[in-house]
Amino acid sequence: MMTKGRPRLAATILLVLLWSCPAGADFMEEFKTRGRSISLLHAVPRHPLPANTGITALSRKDMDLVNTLAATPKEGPFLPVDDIETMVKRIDGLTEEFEASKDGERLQRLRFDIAYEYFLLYLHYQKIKYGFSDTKRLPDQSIPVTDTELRQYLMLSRHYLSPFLEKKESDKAMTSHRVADDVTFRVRGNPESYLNVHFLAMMIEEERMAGGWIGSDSPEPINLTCDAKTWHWLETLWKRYHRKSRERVYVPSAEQLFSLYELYLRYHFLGRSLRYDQKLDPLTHTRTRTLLSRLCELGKTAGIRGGTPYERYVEEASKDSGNTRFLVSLYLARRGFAVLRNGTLPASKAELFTLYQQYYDRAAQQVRYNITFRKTIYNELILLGVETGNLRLMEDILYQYGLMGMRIPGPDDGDRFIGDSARFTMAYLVANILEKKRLSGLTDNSARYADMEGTLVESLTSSANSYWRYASVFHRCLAEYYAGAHEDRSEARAIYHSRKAFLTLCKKLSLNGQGGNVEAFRGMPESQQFLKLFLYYQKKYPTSPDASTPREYRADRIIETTLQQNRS
Amino acid sequence: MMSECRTTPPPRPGLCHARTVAFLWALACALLIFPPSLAAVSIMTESQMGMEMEEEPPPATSPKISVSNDNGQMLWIASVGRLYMKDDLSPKERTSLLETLESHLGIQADGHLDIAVARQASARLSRYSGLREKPFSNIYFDDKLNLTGYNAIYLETCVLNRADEGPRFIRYFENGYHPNRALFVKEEPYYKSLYYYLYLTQEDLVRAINGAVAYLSKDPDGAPPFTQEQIRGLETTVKVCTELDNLRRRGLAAKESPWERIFTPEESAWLDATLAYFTNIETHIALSSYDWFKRTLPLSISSRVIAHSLRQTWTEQAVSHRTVLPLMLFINKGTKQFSVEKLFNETLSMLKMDNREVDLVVLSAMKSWLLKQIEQGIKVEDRTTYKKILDELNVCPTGWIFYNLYACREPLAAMKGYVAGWEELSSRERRTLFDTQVQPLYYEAKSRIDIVFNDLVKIFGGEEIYGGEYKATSINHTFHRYRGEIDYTFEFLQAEVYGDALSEARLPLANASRSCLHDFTAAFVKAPELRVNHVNLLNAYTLLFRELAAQGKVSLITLHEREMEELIRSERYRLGSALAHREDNRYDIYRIIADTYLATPRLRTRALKVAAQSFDLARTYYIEAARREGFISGTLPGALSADATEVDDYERQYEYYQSIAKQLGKKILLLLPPEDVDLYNRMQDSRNPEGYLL
Repeated sequence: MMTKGRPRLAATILLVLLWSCPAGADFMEEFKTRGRSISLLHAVPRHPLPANTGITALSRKDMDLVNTLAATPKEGPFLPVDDIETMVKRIDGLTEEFEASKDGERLQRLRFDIAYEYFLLYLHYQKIKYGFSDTKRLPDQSIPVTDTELRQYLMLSRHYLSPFLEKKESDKAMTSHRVADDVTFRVRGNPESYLNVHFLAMMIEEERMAGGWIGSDSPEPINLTCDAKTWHWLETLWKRYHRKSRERVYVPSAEQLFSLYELYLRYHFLGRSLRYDQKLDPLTHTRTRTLLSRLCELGKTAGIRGGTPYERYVEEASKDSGNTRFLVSLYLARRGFAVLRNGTLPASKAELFTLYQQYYDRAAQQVRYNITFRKTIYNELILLGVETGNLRLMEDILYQYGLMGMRIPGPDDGDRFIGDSARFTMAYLVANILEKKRLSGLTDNSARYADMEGTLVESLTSSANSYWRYASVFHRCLAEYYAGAHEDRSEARAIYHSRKAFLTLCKKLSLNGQGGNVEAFRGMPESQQFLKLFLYYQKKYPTSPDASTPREYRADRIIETTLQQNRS
Repeated sequence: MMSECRTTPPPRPGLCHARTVAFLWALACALLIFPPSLAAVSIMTESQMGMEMEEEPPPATSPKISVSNDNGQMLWIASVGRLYMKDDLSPKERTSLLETLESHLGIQADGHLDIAVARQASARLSRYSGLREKPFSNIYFDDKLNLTGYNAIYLETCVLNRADEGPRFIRYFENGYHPNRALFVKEEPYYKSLYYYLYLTQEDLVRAINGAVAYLSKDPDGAPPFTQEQIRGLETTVKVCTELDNLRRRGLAAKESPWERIFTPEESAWLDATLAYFTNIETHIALSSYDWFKRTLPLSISSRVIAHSLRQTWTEQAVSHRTVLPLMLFINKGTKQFSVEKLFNETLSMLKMDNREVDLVVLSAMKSWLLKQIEQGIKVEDRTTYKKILDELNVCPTGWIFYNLYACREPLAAMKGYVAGWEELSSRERRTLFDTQVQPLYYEAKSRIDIVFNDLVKIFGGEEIYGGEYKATSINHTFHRYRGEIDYTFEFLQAEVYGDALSEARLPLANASRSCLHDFTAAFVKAPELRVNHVNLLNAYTLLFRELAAQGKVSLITLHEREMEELIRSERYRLGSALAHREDNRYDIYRIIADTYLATPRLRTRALKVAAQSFDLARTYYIEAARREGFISGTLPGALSADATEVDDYERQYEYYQSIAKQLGKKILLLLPPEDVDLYNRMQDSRNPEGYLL
């Protein structure tokens, strides 16, 4: 399936790039490489989106779920990157002290502190450079932060931290991480929070790789070791947290442990995605699952609200027989969602979309056993893409994904969430496409979607959900398309679809036990329009067999009542 | 003559034949003019030098030989020592001491220094100090056995008897000693002699300056009693002061300050006051505020002071800005305070001097400082600001121009601040604000920018301002932009205050709206790639057309319209092409023009053309937006369902075009292709809550 879709997709992506606005092109080039880590790991959506109440929008329940998927928890207390003055002052003071002191232990702590501050400095400027500001900036407003500068901070941070790591490199022969790896320091002298040296080293290494400061193909065992050691440290903390040991050691609170695990999750995933690990030992999968389930637990204990639904990840992993590879890309793709929604970057949403699309692609590829899950991934991609409101994007790219999703065999269990069902998602997409085409007047190839009608529309109307909207929109658009002045013009089809559009509403009413109830009919969105549409075509094409007043679902009653009211 | 004979040894007859070898030296000495009374001395020195020449080659390798030969030549050294150690010198002894020193140290009667002789003396002194058995030795004297020390003896003797020997000191110091200060070791005696100089001259100098200033303030055009020597004296004083100041500052950080070692507390207190007076830029700024001083004083004096004070600031800043830190951090500890603005403004105020040499120093300092800020400033907003300032600085040919240009920034920004909230104010509030706040700001900015342009015109030549053909000069577009913005902002505010009564109420200045148009055009033509130039020029046109329309000057509107259209159509400039949709106010312009034409029977058909242009513009922007949002198929745009101002503009311009067409009895359906009409209808429908029906 993938291979079949590939070349066409690639071509369309190319097309998108060609016609997309060229002003942001330079920005995109840089953003793709250097801005990757900051946008994936640290972007926090700022404004709650205004709810879309149009007829083709997602229902509230579905919208909430989409929002939860893309939600990111607040930045934890371990990387306070906003106060630049404090950072610089601290670096200044610490460096002075560092140069003056000879004491071994003190020196080590200073090393850590300086490295930590430089890392914050790096994040701070990175954040400014790849604009998460309040106002959208114009493409010609460049931010005077150079790559060299960013690189310098990262290198300085690494420089101060390197003694800790080199020492460990030498006794790597002993491979056991259990011994004396717990080199941990207070964060900014706060007795309540601590950070491990290897944790910091891991973040630095991943940032270096994400920024392209080191080649991703060169073997870098250092960040793997750091990763492993960080995990080990977190495990120790976990044990302490549960044992509530009375030894005089650092026992984190639930919130702290949550943010530490969460931070680890982000960088761990970023690293894995950058290295593009082909083979993974089963241990990693187990570890990732443990990580996720602990996050669930901690999130509940600490009462974290609005975070990423880690339960979902656990469930998704277990469905794929414990495989976690695809989770990495999926997690990053969902975070990319947030950036796209922010909309303050000087690139258009369609351009940004192509960036996060790759992560979804990769996630779908990496699903190993539970092939049907690919469908869910594509559906999520479509739900994200429709938010851009870009008609070309929907028609050229998203529609292909929809087709791919529908071709994947497997049952739809689509009552919980629209994204669980390929057909519902497709209906949502096509309804959006058709409605946009209808309103914009670009109806040139609407006929291509008419084939979908048979497969999609019938199942949409049920008492449990409100997907009937998509069905009626579908019919209305097609009715208007066939009534238009072009070679596809067909009276019979026009009246057929207008009738269907109207009947969909009536069917929904009767399914809910309110068949023929005019008041309830009026309460449905745009119901008058659907009625008028049918009446209009009835008058226009009176000879058509579909032009008779329908008796199903007590639709005749609605028509009669309305006509009477109009007359009086 | 008597004392000479006593203190210097007579020439030895056995060595007289050496004259033949020494003819070169004789020649050299003959070139120097000696007063007749010293002729004998000169002959003696000549002969001694001749002997030296023979002995010179092996001095270091075989000191023993030279010692035996030198003993006679070094007698003067010993005799100076003896005299120096005496408690009291009779005038005769003193004269002899001074004259011996003069002859051997190469001090000439007019105060110049014979460097060759001085070097000889230096060599001899070092040889003398190397002797194991010195003819004369004293614990208080031995540390003076070098050139600096002997010069100090000379100078000190003069100072001790300053009533008689003061002029001698000054003469030598100003002409010989200080200009050749590279010869002397920078040690205690040297700095002490600097102090002596100030001590001797300072009082007279200050008095002379005060006298001259008093004279000039009475009669600004006259020539004050300030002689050429005094100017030279001032120059030397400033140099000496900066040297001493450097020494003092160097000592501030060290534990054992050389300053405290050399000078007693009283001396140091006196020196502090003197240094504060002469190394202060304000003193020099005050002086050069008098025309006469500005003409007469050498530029190097002020530039020296400026360079000095810059160096001070930078050294202090370097202390606060740790070299290991990649960012600029300004400290705020006790007395040491540094902030970006303070440093900048301090440096900037030095440009007040209007002095070429100062400019060089200050501008290059500022450039490197700004560059540092741009690369290493902590706040990114500051970086952007300083980038702009640096760009401006780079195009300023002189510091004075930059100083004045920079001074425009503030009033201009204040004026622009009023523009933002101007609409909301009531007309009375506007009026009071305009009279009390805006006008002073305008005159301030205007006077500054006029200074800038006066200087620019002097450098680059004038411009044909009101001529038909625009004659370009190499004045940078930045200056035009500034002047234009100042005029424009003022004019804008004024237009809102007076409304229709503008033409009567206008201040009797040059027609500012016309001149800001001129400036913006110049800026635009010179740099059409900058967005701001597009914005400005279109703003100026809007203002102009609005005013012309209010006055009903149709012919002028036609003229300017053609001019503007040329800029828009021209391949090279393409006015408006750099703009984002929201910034483009060509719609306003077209509307004003079209409305005016419509009211003029002769030009009614042209109104339709203008409206068509306006619609065309909206359509172009709309297609761009549609492409961005993906609502396009081929080249045919569809109606956007996203929120975009382009849609509003399309509709509005369409309706405007339609209404004009109607007034001329034409149908829009015939004027536009059906796609455009269709698009408009669709937009209307999608806005309609009832939706769209065929």
